[in-house]
Amino acid sequence: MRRSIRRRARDTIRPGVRRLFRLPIRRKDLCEQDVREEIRLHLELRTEQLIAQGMARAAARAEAERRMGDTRSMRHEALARERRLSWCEQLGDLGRELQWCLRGLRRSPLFTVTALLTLTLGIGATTAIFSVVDRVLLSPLPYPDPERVVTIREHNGEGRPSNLGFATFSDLAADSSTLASIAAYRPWVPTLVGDGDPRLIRGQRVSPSFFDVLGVQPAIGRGLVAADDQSGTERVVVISDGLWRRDLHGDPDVIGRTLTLSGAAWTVVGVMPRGFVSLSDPTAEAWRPLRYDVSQAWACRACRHLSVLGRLNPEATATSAASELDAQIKDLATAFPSAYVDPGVEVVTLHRQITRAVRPALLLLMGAVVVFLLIACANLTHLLLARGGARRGELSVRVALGASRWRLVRLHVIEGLLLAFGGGVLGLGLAIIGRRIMLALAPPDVPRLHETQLDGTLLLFALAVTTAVGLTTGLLPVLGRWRVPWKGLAGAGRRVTATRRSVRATLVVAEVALTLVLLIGAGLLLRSLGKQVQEPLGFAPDRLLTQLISLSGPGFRTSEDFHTFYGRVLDEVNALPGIVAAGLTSQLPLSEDHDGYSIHFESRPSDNPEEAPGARRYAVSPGYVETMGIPLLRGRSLDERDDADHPGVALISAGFARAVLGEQNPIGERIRLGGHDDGPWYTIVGVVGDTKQDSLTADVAPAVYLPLEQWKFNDNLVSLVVRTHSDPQAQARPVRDAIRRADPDQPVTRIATMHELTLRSAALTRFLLRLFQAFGSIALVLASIGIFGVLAGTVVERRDELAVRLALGARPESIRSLVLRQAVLLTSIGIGLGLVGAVALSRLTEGLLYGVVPTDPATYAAVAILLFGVGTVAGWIPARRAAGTDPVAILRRM
Amino acid sequence: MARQSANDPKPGTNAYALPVVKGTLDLLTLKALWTPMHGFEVTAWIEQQSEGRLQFDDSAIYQALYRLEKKGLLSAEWGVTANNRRARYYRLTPKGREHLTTETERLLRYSETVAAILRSAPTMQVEGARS
Repeated sequence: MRRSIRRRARDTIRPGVRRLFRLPIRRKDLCEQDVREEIRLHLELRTEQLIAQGMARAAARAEAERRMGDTRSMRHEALARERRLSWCEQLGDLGRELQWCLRGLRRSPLFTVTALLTLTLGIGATTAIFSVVDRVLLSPLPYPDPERVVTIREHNGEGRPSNLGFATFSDLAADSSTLASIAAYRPWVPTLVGDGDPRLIRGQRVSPSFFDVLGVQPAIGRGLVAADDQSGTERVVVISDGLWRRDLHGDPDVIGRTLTLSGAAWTVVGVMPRGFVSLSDPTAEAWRPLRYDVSQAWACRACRHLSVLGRLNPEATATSAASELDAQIKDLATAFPSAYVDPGVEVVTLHRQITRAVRPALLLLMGAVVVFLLIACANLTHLLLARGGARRGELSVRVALGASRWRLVRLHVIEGLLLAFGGGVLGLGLAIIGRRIMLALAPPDVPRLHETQLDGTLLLFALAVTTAVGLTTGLLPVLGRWRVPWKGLAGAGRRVTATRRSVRATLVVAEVALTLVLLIGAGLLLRSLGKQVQEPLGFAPDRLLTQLISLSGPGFRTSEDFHTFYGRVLDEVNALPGIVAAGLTSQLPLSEDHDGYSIHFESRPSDNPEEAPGARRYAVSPGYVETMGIPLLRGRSLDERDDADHPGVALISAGFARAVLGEQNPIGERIRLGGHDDGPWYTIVGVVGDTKQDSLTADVAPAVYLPLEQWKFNDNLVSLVVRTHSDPQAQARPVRDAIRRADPDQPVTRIATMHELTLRSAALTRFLLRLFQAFGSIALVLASIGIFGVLAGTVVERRDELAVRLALGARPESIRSLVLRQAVLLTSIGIGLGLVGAVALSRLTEGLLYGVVPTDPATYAAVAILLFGVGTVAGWIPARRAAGTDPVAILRRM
Repeated sequence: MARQSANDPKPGTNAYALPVVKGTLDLLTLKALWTPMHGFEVTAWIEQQSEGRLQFDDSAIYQALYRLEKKGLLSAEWGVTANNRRARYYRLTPKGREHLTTETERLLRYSETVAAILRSAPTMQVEGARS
């Protein structure tokens, strides 16, 4: 009986009132009970009506039930109604809560703007970095079954992987059960003479199955076939969609047209589909047949200059292919022992191969940005906690009116999500801008970087990050509050529990620690860059302008033609005002040029020509060594007399001379380049200083310098170096025009100052450094705001206590140090944890640093001191404010 | 609109009882709720107004009531009848009132159009067109 009264009481509450007090929606059994009760009443009333009309009671009852009909669908309808109403009610609640949060955010614009800014930076940076990581490391290559495209390289004696000689390639290609197809290729840089200025394009010389290996065939025309690879047949070329559209104006009848490439006519047989990229050289726009055969001198087994790609059979793996090819090459080594030293084969997927250099850097960046995001989250949680303090009154009223715990949690989560989504949308905008900045900053050799775009994956990633951030930041403040007794909430306003203060202190410690990790990363990279830039180059890089000239066409047939042109160029350039000196060289330091020969010393004949020492060959004009500022250590330099009519002379780098001849004076020693029993002899007339060739971080390269006119072949790619009086950049145009005057048909490219080349050589470090600096400095600001916020909050919360202390005679200085001590404590704990974390993570930077160990004590100490200083300063202001507390005013208010 | 006492012809046996066209029962129910009523009152009111010429199960009225409540056209609460019995009272929401007006308008226009077409054939006698 009492139960039914209670039920009645509950059920007679009007829906509006029920909603107001957040009473639960009726459950299924209650709902069915309602239906039963309605039916009962209906039947009673109907029966009474029928009796009143003169029916007998039993008959009336039966008639009432008959008219009622089937009641099952009634129940069903009633349940559907309840479900629907409960949904509506929940949705309505959600709407009201959203409005409440929005109103709250509008009311405190400073908080909202700070929170959104923090989130925008965090989510934006994470998304931007992820866009690069996703495209470069994660997304598959744009070929069918891309994981089956592999690169095949040979191990040479030192175990370092190298390219293959043509003879080896054709033996491996002959019979392999693991490879469906195999192709060799090498770079090809022809001059395209078309409507406009002649220009160098990049291309590849490829064996006929090249496009089969990649699994892409031309969109127009045909690919290369075996017949194209026979010398003596028509010269054919496959071109890229871009070249077709730009230089041939998208001519639909392109097949059969001829292109003039480096002075020869090439027939176009195919145009690759739009968007096709040959990832072994992403800038390649034309592909010609390789046209090697084993009888050629440069097709020898030791002539390892061909890159090789293969496509695995469906059942084969890189490992099984490697073991098969390994066995084959060991057989070859038995047959041709002079050509192989300790042979072996390395097979890795093309994807791995092209990302090998940048993978650690990108992973490091991803790690850094995650740390950055964590700092942003910590900071936002801070803000939310501080705000929670300010809104206690409002929440207390809600609790007093019976709002459940769940409802308060929900409010916080909604607020967190709302902020996160706002930050997420802005962050996506920032990511789009950030992506542009990264494209501009990134080193040129990051593969597929320019393919990055805003796609579904990226949006999904941003959404996931946003949701995670929203949930975390929304929940953390509530979790901090969990242990607080509820009545505490409703109690007196200002007092803040110790629990919550410790949550905030923990957050500050975490922020300091994470910031320290980022700053140490930045510091190490900075030191590494400094080491690289300070690395002695062996020449003077200041005010040095360089340009690459490529020579081709009917005007260049005899060596006479070449030498005349070289002379004219130097004359024209030297005649320009503002020029100190000029010289030509067949390979330029720090420019990715690579030209090495084995060098045979007359006094040191070796039985095995493979064991002859190798050195870089520089064919240079007289005056090159002087222009570059390479010091002459002994003997004389090259000069005008050393032309084709005089006996061959050479300069040798000091390091190379010492490595081969020891302390013996190299002057007068005779050397031969290439084969040990042919070619002219060059007499060493001088010793010059060592120079860097490949990069700032590589060892100095052993080098020999020969006069251009005495070199047996004609170099059709030469670099001009010009030392200027003032800004070399300003001379770029006059110098180019001077070359044009010498011959207007020869393209001039790669115009750069030596300073730019130096920076380009350290591009990866600089790229990482800039991003670390950006993340680190923003993190530093966020962390100092965090410290400031916590201490300022503490000072306000402890105002009463401080006032009492002051009233009881505490000196302002002691109050100040009381607060300051807290700042120092928090910062110190953070720094301690951060140092431990940085050491633990130092493995990540392996291979990315130069000249500095990942646990460099100087860097660690400097960053720790910096952070400690910032922490103390951030604590100083609240400390001063605390010391300035006016006890009388506060005690009066208490 | 003439009010007559309900002399209750038995549905199904009555010679001129009409099955209710789908959807019209909802409208009749809304119409019935010019004042808050419980389920039986709604049933009785419709029977009275139709002079028993519409044929439907009583449970159909309740289904209509629940359906309309789900749509937010009605609201319901428990109350007590004049004889002190517990009953669930239904009332129109503002949304329901609006719905009633527009739907009544629509249905009337529709049936008048149909009736006009049917009447235009002089040879035909349509019984339903009388009302």
